[in-house]
Amino acid sequence: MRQISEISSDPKQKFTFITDDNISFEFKLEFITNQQGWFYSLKYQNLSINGNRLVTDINILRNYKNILPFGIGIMTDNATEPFSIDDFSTGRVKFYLLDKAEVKDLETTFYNNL
Amino acid sequence: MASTTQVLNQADIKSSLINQYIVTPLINLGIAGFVFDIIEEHKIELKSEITDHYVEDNSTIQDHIALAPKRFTLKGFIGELVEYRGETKSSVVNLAEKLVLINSYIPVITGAARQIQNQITTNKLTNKDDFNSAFGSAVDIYQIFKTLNPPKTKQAKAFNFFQALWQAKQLVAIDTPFGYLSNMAIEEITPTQGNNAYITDFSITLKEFRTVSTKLVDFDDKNYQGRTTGQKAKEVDKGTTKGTLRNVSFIKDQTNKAGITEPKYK
Repeated sequence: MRQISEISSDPKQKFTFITDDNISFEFKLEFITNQQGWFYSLKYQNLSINGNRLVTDINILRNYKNILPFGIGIMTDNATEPFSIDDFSTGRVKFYLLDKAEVKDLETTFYNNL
Repeated sequence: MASTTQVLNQADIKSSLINQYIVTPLINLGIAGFVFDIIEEHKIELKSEITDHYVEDNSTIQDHIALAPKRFTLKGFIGELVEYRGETKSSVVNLAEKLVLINSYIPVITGAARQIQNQITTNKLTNKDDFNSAFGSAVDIYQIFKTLNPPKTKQAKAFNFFQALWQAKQLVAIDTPFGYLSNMAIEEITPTQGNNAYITDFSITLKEFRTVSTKLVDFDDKNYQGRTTGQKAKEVDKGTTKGTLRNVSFIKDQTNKAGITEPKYK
């Protein structure tokens, strides 16, 4: 698992993430003030996910766990949702990149899904 | 010799005119000031609206005062045969009746000028006819006069004069005993003729005409927080990152702290 600390308070950001399995994918973040939230878009091979709200979860990509060989965990100190443009820059919200084995580990732990 | 000094002196006299009304169209230099033969009444109304909010003890508190536009009412008589004695028809009145000659010395009326400019700019005039119609009042009043029956009496002339101002929605300035009022619009004209066909009682109410102006400014996103700034922001390319290695047990601990200890789905 890798913690991504490079997320700043810029409203629109673009990353290329590389997992521990050396899988890379494009990831975009946008903060929308009107919604008081962060929204992400992801592109991996032929799969595109656009404009999903970023929420606190052990794996926000759980719906795609059978397609994607990675996952993303969002954790906050006080179990609230990301709502501020400064959430990542202040460290209140933490962004984790999970590899395939870690996704499976969390599934087993929290969903009893082997 | 009608020197400049003399003209200026006359203008001073006119501006300090007391107990006579001079209604002056703001822009139509071709139409002279108007003076009533006999003054009956002049009234100015200064009103404000003050809010009332009822509180628990049934009393009211006030937190806002809105000033209403000024209203001025002038009443006067116009007669067919008017005899002025030496001391009653002063040189001031004589002067006022000849204001055609010194109209250009009347204070500059910016309100009316704005009225014209707004018409020209908003209508984006392209030809002479439109320009004349925007310039408006001088041309319009003249045309209004032409369409009306030629006035035969002084009363009809006075009525036509005020009717033309009213119909042209002309802003006027008034010299009153209370001071000089500019940017006034005619709200009501009530000429009343009783049994005597040689005299008419005019009552004219004018209301202050306030306008606002708009200003075009360049868009500066620094003045707009939040949404607009975010929408206008350019995407920042953070490049390739692998992040910092952490143990997955951290997520488990955090999640357990948050109370998710049992499987949610099966």
